[in-house]
Amino acid sequence: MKKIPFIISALFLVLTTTVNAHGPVRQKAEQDITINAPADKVWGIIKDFGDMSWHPGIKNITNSKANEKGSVRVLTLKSGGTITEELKKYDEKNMSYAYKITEMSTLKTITHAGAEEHVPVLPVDNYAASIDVTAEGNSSVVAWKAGYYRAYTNNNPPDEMNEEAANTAVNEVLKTGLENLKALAEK
Amino acid sequence: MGFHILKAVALSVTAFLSPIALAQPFAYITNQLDDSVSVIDTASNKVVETIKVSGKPAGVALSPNADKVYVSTPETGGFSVIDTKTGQLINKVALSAGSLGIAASPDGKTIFVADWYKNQVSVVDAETLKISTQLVVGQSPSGLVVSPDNRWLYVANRLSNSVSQIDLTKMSIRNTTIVGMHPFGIAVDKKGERIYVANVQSDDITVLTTVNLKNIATIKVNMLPYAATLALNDTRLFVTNQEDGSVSVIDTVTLKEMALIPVGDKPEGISTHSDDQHVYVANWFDGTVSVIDANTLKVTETIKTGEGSRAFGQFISK
Repeated sequence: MKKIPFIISALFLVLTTTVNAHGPVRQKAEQDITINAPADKVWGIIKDFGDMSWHPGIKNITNSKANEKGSVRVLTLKSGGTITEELKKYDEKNMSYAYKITEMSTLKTITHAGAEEHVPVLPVDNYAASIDVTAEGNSSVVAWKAGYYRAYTNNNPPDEMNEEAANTAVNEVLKTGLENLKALAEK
Repeated sequence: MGFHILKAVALSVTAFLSPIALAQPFAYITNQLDDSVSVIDTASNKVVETIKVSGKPAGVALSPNADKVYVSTPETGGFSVIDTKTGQLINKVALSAGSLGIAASPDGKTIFVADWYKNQVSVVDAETLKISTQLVVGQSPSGLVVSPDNRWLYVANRLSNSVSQIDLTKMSIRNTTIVGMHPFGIAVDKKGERIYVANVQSDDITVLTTVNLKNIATIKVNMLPYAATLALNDTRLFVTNQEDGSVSVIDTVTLKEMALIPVGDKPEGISTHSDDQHVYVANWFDGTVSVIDANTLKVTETIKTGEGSRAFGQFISK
């Protein structure tokens, strides 16, 4: 009976031999910030889906209609390139909205596994996000959440389009945006 | 190295470990970003165990007598088998890279695994864990469900916007029909009369007859309906709206949405307790499970699980 642990280990060694291939896994990012300003004021800065001047990475923005489901905005980035987003949910009462990326321009083209790959300006796929403001007395908490896949949808991604690249880029967008929002609201 | 050795070892392991105090039923929640499965004792609604499962576990199915949980692992391309009595991972089955949707037949003899990339469903013998056949279906097959009489397997083909009906006596496709945009989760009623398909892109549910795939209704729900389950003797259908953070409740007689229940962020997998009254919802973003009372249509509990709780499939033992 004492041999059993060894048998189990040996067995698992055999059984754990698996195919060396990876299916994409949905990733998430969340950044929260506490702002020393009333929720109304903070919400007032971000509430227009067509105005993202509060984010330091955005050069300019155009949008199709007011704050209603289906409104489309095109963000032109300071670093170059565009991101098109569609408003999917708007909740004035709860100070929150949700949107999806529907289109992005290409940052660069690389060759990977013998094929040409377009790396989008934000290296993600199927990106959806929501932002909401919650009052906490005279201050407020803003939560910005995103769910997405890496940009490369097949197996064995290149470095520019893997999960790490996606997570790093998204967290940077959320973090720099919220920090600037805090600076603007606390002015 | 045969299966018999494994069985013998599994038996020895069972004999060695003190069995966990089991009070059925249990809910098995795959935490994809944590590489684990949370085991919830539904009597206390507490996580009683967390089982390490590598390969980014996503889909889940239970054997009919609840002695095993099958968990698809897309990253390692296959599925893992957990012995529910010991809470041990007892086997890993290698299939192909895009393994996601998984279902067990009600007679316990077969496990079906959909491959997202290869447009096929692997049919695996539950006893030997060997592939008996592979069925070519539509593009990016995702949700799978078997009719209660073991006669048909239904496959939601996400990128083909269709559902395939497979005759399990002949192991061939009998019929394929177009549904809404990007069907994902799929549920069948207890009587085996209707199937309900959640279409993630058209934000609706397609209701089909089980035998002829006749379209009975299309019901509008909310943003990104992901999966569905029935409760209260098939009179209510509960649908997770992933991007809306809610569950739509549909009256299956009028075929209309009768309530919308806020749950956690990005709800995905949904299953009904064996009491036919409580519905469990895995909230992917929050890493929690919401418990809904189908009578009061209220969330009665929220249980902390792990990162990226998906639980795509039938995850509560009967």
